[in-house]
Amino acid sequence: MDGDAPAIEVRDLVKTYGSVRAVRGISFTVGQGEVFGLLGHNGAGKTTTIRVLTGRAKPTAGQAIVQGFDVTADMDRIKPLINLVFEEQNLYERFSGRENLRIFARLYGVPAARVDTLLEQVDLVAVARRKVKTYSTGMRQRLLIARALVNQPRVLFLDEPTRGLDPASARDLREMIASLGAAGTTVFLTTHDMDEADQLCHRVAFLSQGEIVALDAPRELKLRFGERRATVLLRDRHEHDIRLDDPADAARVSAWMRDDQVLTVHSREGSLEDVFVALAGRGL
Amino acid sequence: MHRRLITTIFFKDLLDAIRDARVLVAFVVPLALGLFYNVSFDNQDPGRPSVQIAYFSASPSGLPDALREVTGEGATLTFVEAADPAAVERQVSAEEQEIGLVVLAGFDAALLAGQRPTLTVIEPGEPNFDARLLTQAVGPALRTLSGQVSPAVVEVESAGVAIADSTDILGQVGFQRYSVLASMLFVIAMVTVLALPVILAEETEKRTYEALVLIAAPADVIIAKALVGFVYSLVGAGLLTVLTGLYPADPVLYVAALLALTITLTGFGLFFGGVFRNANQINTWSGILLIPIIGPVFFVGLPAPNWADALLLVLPASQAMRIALNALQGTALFGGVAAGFMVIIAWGVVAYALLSWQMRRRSR
Repeated sequence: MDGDAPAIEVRDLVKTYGSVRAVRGISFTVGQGEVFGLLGHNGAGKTTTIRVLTGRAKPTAGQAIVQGFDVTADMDRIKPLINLVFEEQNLYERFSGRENLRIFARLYGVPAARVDTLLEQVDLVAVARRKVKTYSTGMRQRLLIARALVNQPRVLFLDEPTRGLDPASARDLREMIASLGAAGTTVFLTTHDMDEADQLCHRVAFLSQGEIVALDAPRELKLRFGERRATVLLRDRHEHDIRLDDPADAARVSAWMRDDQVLTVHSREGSLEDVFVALAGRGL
Repeated sequence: MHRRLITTIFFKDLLDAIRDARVLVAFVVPLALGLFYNVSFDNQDPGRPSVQIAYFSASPSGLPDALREVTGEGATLTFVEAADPAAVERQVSAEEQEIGLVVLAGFDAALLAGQRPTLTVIEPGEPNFDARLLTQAVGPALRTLSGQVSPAVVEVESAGVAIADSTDILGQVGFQRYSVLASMLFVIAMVTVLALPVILAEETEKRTYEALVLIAAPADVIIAKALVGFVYSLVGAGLLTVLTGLYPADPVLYVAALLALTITLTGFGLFFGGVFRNANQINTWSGILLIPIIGPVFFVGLPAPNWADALLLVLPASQAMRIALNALQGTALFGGVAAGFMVIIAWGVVAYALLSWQMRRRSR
């Protein structure tokens, strides 16, 4: 396939379940090596979109192309090129970590030596022979990542990868995702965590009720939709939250400056959560 | 269909099933039941009475052989030599033997000479069925010994296919063989309709199924599970055969019956595995699923109302039991073997049609 062709191309994708329209005609592209975030509240259509892109659900209408192949017609050619870190920790609990990886190495036709490499990569060598049911949540999540990397996928989907993890494990995982993106793997991420998306993604799309309501780089979205704010600390030790786009607040700041009342000013950039609230009218 | 994917999933499930206590219990319990039946009931064919006889003869006599000739295959006679007539009486009264015979010196020669020598038959106070059987055989045996022949030749012919009288199936097959065979079908039912759905439902419940179908097709996963069902069923049936020595007279018909039932029930098991979304639900409902499938097996050939007999004719497991009983004995205890296979196959078609419909729904 053409090296400049997008890793994922979605055109007017619709997916309905009975009378429920889970995805309502969304379109977007994801470039090769891009880390792309799909954000939205529960039931917005994120997981459905991933299900279609990974061949586990058929589109009702529209087209989805992954690595140049149509998901409806060429899923057998797509499957070896992709992998997914599931939202649930769906591992074989009565098998050891190593056995879990071996099963999937065989399924993907990958040499067994790859299992050892992955165990080292996710730092699970010491517990590789232990049954998965004895693993902590963080260890399971690392094993899930290793499993998803077993076939060295060109496109890696991650569905809420840090949900339920403690802060340290979540940070480790974000570092791993960032390094995958840096190494050229296309990463397609869904998350509730706006800070995570802001930190990891080159571009994000906001999905609300099955429709994309905004799509751009996080900074652009924050500048376009987020409120520009500042916290002003006065000499009387009172803090004031100022909206910079509000003329009345701007006049108050000017007056405090003129009267030498201002001790400090801290600007606050809008967050992706602000963007989502502005777009969808509800918090996450 | 991808062979590498199917074999990988198959071996994974084979190993996982051994590690899963629920699956192991479903496999081991009916196996243990079959072994229990095998050791608990007399190996002797219960349809063939066994008579223990205290015997004293003052001179050599052909009476034991004549009695054996008269009873033929219908009974097993065991003669226990006693030292004297008093010992015969003592053994019978002490219930060490069921009946006693005292033969005087020159008895056989006297018979042949047309004399009427005395033969003493010592019965217990309350003679049982076996003792009465021997008493009734004495008269014909003495006629044989005296050289008399039957006044007519009696030929017994069978008209058409012999249909078993439901009251004497246990008599013909023996309770031990009947119950061990029923346990064998129980093994197949437990594996296919309980263990197999548990394996599949757990895959769905834990969402590992989703991980498999990222690379495999749903059909690959289902075929692998079906193979697990076949292997465990046939291993269970094979083990029970070897451990109990229940070797059929017609092995081809026997294996065909078990195989047809396994294939059909595997279809239902896979369907149930998709209907129930978790293994606990299957455990909860397993009784209701298993009773109509395995229950009829234990009524085949036994006295039952007409409607129950009719029901047994349209159920797959009872048909498999009828065919397997025929194969076990090597005789047509039950008629309609071809119709029996048709019934089993028809249920199989229903099962796999339901499974196919379910898979199409899942892939939407």
